[in-house]
Amino acid sequence: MTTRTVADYLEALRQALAGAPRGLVRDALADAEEHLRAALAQQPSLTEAEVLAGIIESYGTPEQVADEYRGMDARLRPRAAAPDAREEKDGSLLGRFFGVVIDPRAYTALFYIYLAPFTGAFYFFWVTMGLSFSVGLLTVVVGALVFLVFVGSVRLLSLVEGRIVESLLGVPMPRRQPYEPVQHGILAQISTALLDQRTWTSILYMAAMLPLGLVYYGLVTTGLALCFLLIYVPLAVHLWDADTGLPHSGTYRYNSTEVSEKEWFARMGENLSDWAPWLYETLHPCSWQLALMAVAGVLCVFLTLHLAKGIGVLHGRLAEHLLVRLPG
Amino acid sequence: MVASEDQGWRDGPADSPHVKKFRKELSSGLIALVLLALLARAKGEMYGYEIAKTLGRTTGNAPQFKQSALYPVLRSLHAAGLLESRVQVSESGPPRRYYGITREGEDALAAWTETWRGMQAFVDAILDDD
Repeated sequence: MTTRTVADYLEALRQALAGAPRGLVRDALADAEEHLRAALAQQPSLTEAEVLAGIIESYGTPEQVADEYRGMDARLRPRAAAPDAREEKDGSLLGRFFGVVIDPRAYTALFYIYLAPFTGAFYFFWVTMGLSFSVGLLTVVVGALVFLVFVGSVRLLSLVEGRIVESLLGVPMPRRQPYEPVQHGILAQISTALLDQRTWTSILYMAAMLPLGLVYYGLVTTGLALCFLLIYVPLAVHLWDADTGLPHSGTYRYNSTEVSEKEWFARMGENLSDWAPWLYETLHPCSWQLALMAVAGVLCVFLTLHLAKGIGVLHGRLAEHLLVRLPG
Repeated sequence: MVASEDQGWRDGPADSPHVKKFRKELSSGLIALVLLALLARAKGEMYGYEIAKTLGRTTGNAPQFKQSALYPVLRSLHAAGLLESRVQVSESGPPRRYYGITREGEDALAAWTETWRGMQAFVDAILDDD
């Protein structure tokens, strides 16, 4: 592709960066545009094609720049935002399954999931209030102003949410905004805001954060509660003497009276059936079943961490697509 | 005719894949040091293209890295608090981001310079050792 104009160059750069995180692409495009336009402004006597021919020598071809940004990005981004290479290197399925317990990304995703209902509630409140006020007041001039302020606030919230997503979910977000020509007049600004797809996708994201946050929260909390139950019950019933709270000594005591193992389990079963009847009826726990439960509980911890990490990856992609707009 | 002043800064003659790789490995830290030094010496704030031009004049015919490499490093230094920046809106084109060195950046520059000189002396001593 011949690059005779800045637009050609930016398009070629965008193609060369295909597949890269949108935040990186947007930064690279914004940097290149600032640089190339500054070069054009410095040499008004030359045509755009002539200036470009010279500047590409020093700035780099789109392919070289793409290569540079991919490499630089991996080296310079904070660790939390860098792609996790460890998992890709370790090909063994077992290693990947159990490795999640030392993967910081799983815990940051967990934290994000517990934060999401709160941020989601705030975003939801903000967009519903902002939209209602803007639409309600649109017939008077102040409604237009309220709409502009609302759109501005949504963009600011998008930036804040982008930073949270970047640091907790590891999705690189842009450091630069795409270049938009300065608009004069309130009508021009309103029409730009209305026509900007990102305004609407950001509002959609903000509104969707509350239900999504609650679903994530519900899924992970259910997972964690199940893990707790599966691990706690065998420990409580089998390893500790439920009566004395001391490690099990081999003699079974119930209400300070020594009882047979069979009777002890029957008594404990009654207790268990009080607060988890479904579990008792399903299992009628005996010692090997309890041991199996504990193993299932430990596996459940790993599965829940994978679930949190998976939600983090999916939500990161959603945020990237709804919050980051590429110029052009 | 092309913009001749920009032609001085490009890949060197020994542009083999090994040289490229070695240069990349060296560059991210060194560009940061060079940028801090340049902004510490500058009278005021500078924007990306201005920085690139100044470095281009210094390196002349022995270019060390592509100008596009400067921007991610500037952002990283800014994120680390070593540079401060402000955006100036321009009517004719995209807004320009002006960078200036912070007090923390000056302290970092002093420490990095010392590290670099030590490293340079060590590498020179090894390379020159016949």
